Amino acid sequence: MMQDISLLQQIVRLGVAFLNNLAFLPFVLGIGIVLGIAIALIRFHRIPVASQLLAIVVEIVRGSPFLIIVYAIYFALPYVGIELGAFQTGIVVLSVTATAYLSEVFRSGLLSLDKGQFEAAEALGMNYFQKLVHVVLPQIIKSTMPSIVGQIVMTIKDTSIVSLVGMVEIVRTSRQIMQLTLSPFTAFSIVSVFFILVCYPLIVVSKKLEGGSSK
Amino acid sequence: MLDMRMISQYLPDFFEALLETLKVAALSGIFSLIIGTVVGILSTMKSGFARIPVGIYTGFIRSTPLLVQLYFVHYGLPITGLMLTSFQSAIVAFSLNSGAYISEIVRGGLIAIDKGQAEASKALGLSWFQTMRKVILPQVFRNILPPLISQFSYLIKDTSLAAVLVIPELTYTARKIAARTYMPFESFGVPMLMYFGIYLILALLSSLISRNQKSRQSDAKRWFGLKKVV
Repeated sequence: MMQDISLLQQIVRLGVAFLNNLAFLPFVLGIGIVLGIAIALIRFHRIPVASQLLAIVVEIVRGSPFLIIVYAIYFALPYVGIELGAFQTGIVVLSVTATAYLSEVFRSGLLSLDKGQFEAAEALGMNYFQKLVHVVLPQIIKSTMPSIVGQIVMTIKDTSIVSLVGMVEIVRTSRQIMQLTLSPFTAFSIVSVFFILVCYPLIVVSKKLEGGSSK
Repeated sequence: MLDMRMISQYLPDFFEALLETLKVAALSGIFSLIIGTVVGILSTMKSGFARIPVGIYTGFIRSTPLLVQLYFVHYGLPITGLMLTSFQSAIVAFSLNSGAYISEIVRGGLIAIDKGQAEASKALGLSWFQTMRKVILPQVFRNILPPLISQFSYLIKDTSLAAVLVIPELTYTARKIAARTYMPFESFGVPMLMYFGIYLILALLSSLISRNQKSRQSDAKRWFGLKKVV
């Protein structure tokens, strides 16, 4: 059945739905950065067993398509007795991938840090946490900023895939609208514009930062 | 813990699906290489006629999710009268997507080639097309082989979205078997290991080639005392 939904109505409905996509960002980014730094440190210090296990998990996540990770977690969680809503499932799957990718970003940041930094901090009598907070983290956050912004873009784009396991967000809403109006170009164009408005400036920023830090 | 009988029972299905994944990836890979090369060359041209559409194309692809691009092709193109099967839609969407990323790799490779190369070819009387085909592009492709392999590895992962269009590739098959057997760990574990295996092989290949190139460059530097070796 064909139904008329005005352009303005479509834009409003899709815009509201897009907020659901963006709502993932603070959670996923927070979890990803904290756990990513933790995993990077464990692997950097080569803590036995934990570092090897984490290396395998990180590589498997990085080597697998996001969609199959989404499906695997979506199917496996109820199997082990964990019932989550669509939004929580989304946070879990997006955080798993963001953590894996960010841990590699931070690890390469740690590896490229000059050893003299550690020695100087030690000479100043700093303990491990002081070194981490005052010397190491500010530098690696700064040097890895382009990759962090790149990961933000990837996370925003990946939120669309969570629609495939029941999350009501912009892409799912656009399909519903499309089935009513039978004009896919309008709905998907609006969706694209919303993504471009958010992602394109971030891509430009990431490129600028990259250019700046390599000088 | 893992049900080995179930795994061995479904292993042929998984391998068949893996072949389908590789088929989709190989076809999209070939098309995206063609698109990427043409667009990459256009992006280095001075005229805005070529550069502006290229900028819009790569900007659009990079800022929107692949899923939306896939829907655009699959649900949007029939409106224009172009009927595509699910398989064709997937190939078109993946080729356009990967082509945009490859065009940026090719562009980087073209910029890195010394201008003297083009000038020397011109002095030898080669046409623009001959210069590209015989002088510039062979060097570009040798240099950008490692990032191209990485891009192909992303492409293989991206083909999992073909599952949305009910193409019987690895991710779709995993989901189908998981729904049928209620054994999520086995159903997703085996395909994930397969993806991981491909990823590992390509990563090793890429690092092997780039290490080989680096050692060749330092050899050249040592032997010829060149300041800059392309």
